Amino acid sequence: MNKNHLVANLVAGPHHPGRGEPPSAELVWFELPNELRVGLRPVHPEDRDALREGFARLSKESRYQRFLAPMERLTSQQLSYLTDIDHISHFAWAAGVLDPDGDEYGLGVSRYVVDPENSRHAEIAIVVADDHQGRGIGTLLMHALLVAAMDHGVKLLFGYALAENQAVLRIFERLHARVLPEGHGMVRCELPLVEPNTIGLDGEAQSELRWVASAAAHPSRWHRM
Amino acid sequence: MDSRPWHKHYDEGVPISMDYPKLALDQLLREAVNTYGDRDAILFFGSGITYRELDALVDRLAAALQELGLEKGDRVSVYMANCPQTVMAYEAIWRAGGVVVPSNPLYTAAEFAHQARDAGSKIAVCMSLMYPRVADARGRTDLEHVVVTNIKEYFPPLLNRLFTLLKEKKGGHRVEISDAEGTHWFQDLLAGAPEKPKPVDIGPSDTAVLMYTGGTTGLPKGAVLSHTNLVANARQCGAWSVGLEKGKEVMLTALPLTHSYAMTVCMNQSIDRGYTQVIVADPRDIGGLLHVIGKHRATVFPGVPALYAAISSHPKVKKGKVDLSCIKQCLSGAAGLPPEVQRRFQELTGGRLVEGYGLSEASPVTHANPLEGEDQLGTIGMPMPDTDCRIVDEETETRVLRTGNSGVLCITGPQVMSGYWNQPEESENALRADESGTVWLHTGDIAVMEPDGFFKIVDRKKDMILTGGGLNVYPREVEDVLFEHPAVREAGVIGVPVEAADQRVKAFVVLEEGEEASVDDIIAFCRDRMARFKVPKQIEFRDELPKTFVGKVLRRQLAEEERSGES
Repeated sequence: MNKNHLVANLVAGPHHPGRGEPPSAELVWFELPNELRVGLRPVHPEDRDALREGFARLSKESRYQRFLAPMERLTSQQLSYLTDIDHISHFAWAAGVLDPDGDEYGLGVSRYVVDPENSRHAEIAIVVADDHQGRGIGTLLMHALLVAAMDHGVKLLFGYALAENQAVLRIFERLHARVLPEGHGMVRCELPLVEPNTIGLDGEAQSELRWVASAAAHPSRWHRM
Repeated sequence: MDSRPWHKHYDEGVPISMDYPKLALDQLLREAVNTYGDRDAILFFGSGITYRELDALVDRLAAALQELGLEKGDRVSVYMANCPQTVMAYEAIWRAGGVVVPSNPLYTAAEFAHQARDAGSKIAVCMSLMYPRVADARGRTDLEHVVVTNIKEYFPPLLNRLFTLLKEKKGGHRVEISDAEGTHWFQDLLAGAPEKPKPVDIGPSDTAVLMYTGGTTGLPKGAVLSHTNLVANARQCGAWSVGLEKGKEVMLTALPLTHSYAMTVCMNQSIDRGYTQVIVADPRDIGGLLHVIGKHRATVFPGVPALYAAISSHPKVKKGKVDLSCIKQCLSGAAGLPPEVQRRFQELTGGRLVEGYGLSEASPVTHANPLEGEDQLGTIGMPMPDTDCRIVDEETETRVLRTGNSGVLCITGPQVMSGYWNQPEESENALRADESGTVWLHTGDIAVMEPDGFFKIVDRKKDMILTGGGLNVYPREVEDVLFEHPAVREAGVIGVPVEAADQRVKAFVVLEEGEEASVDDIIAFCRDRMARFKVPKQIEFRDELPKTFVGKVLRRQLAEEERSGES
C-alpha cells in the first residue's frame, strides 16, 4: 500500500514498555493524519468497568447504532461476554489515550466474533466515543482489526449497520466492501480478507499489532520471554 | 440512450413541461372566484359553501389573524381533523402571509408540543376536541394565541342542533376556554374582524408550509415547502388527470388535510380547478363515506389501498346496494396497491384506480401511473411533468446507475422542498447538487427504473411501518418509547402485514429481571406518549431478542420468526 494511503503511522508512545510486560501495559501507539496520538491494545477482563462507564457515556444514538436497539447500559452478562474473550474466536481492540495522570482513557473498541458454524467468517462491531467520532479512530480500529482477523485465518468479515450510518459505511466503502441491503433500514457489509495490502498500516505497524494480538491470545508466551 | 423514457408513455394531453403561475396559494382561490364564484367550493354534511363565500370567509379570518399579530413569515399550527374550517385556516394563513404548520389530529400533547416548539408557531388553530391537548402543551411552546373551533360550526342547521343535543358533550367537542388568556373562539374572531386583511406582498419563493415528516432518528422535522412548490404540484396533478373537466368535478376529500397528500391533491388541486370538495370528517365510517359518495356523485377519490379495500368489502357494497359508478379517477398512494384491491374497486366503479408515489419533501406527488393508458401494477408509475429522476448507488449516492439496477431514488422538480426547517445537516444530506449544479432530493427509498421509464420501489432505506391512511410509523420511535418504560430491558418493533398493503405495529419486549408488566400496562404507557396509530397493536414478551454474534438486534430476524410462527 502506498504510504499516502496509510490511515495512521506507528509512533513511540509516551512510555513504550518493553516486550515482556503484561498485556495491560502493552499499547501500540499510532499517530493519525490529524496528529492525534492513540494507543491500541487488546481488551481484557479488567476492562469491565471502563467498558461499562464508556458505554453509559455514549449518546443515545451511538448506543443504538452499536446494538441496533435502544440500550442504556450493559448488563453484567454482556460485560463478561464483551471482555472475557479468548482473542482468537472473539477478538477486541481498545483505543485510548493517556490522561495527565498517565491513566488510560478509552476512546473506542473494535471487535470481531467468529461464526461458530463457519470459522472463516466473523462479524464485526466498532464503537467510538461521541466526542471523538470523525477523527479517524474508527478507521484505525477497523484496520487494526483486519490485521488480527487475517492473522487468525478469518476470510470474510461482515457487519450490520443502519443504512444511514454514513461514518461506518464510509469506512467499509474505502475498503471496497460490498454493502447489501438488509431491509428494515439496515445494511450488511461484507469484506473478503484476501488482499493484505488493503490494510492502511505499514508492515512494521502490522507486525507490532500481530505481536500484541497473539500475545493476548496466548498469554503463556509472556512468561516464555 | 433516452434518459427520460417515460415521456412517450404519457397519456395524450399530458404535457412534458408547463409554465407555473407565480402565485401565492390563496391567489388560486381568488382566481377560482372569478370563474366559478357561485359553484360550491365545499360540501360538508350536505351544507355548501360557494367559492365566493369561502373567499370572503378567508378574507375575514386572514384579517382576524393579522389583528392577533400575525406577520409575514410567522408560523401557525393547524391542528384539525377534516372540516371546512381546516380549508379556511390554510387559505387565511396564506393570505395573511403566514406559514402553515399542519399537525396530525392524532398527535398527543407531547407530539404537538414538540412540533409547535420546533416550528416556533405563534398561533394555533385547533378543533375543540384537540383543545385540551393544546392547553396541556402550551407552556412548552411559544404560542401567543389559540383559536378554537367546534366541528359543528358549518354543519347544516338541523344536524348542528342534533349534534349539540346528542354528541357534543359526550364526544369531548364542548370545551371551556373563557378563562384562558389569548384563547379565542373561531366564530367570535370572524364576527369581530375587518372584512379585508391588510395586503401582504407574498413572493412565490416564500415559505407556505412546514410539513413535518418523521425520521428514523430523533423527532419529526419540517420540510420547507414554498408557494411555488405547492402551486406547481397542484398543477402537475391537474395536468395528469386527463379527462377531468375544470369546474365540473366533485372531489372526495376523505384523507386528512393535515397530510401533504390531501392538502395538495384534494384541496389545492380542487381550488385550482374549480372542483367541489366533499369534505369527509371521518373516513373510518365507511357507511357514511358510501352515503356521501352516492349523494354528491363524487368523481375523483384520492385514497390509500386500505380505504379502497374497506369499501369493496363493505356489506352494502357486496350486496350491490350502492352505486359507485360516479367515480372516474382514483390515485392511490402511501403503500403498494395490491392487484386484487385495484381490480375489485375498478369493477365496482367502472373508473380508474392507479398507484402513485410521493413524499412530504416533494409536496408530495412525484410519480403516478397513467390514468388512461395502460398502468403497470407493482410500479409507482412514471415521473410527473417537469420531474426528473435518477437512481444512484446505495453506498456513495453519487454514481448514477443504469436502467434495471436498484439504488437510491433521487428526484428533482419544481415541487421539491428547499430543505428542512432549522436542520442544516439533515438538509444537506437530503438535497445534494450534482456536477452540473442540479439539486436532487435523495429520497432514501430504494428503487429500480424499468426500461420503459416506470419506477418500482424495492425497499425503503428508512425502516417504516405503513399502517394505512398514509400514517407511517418509524419502529425506532416506538422502540424508544417502549424502552422508557421502567420494566422494559429490550424492545424490537416490526410491521406485521394485515389486509391490503397495510401493516400493524408489533413489539417484542424483554422485561428487566424481577420486573413485571402486562400487555395492557405497556400499551397504556405507549398511549400516553404517542399518537394512537403508532401504539403497538401486539406485544410479545420474550426472554431475549434474537441477536447477532456481536449482540446486534436485527429486525429482519424478528420479522422472519414472526412469519415462520416461531417464538
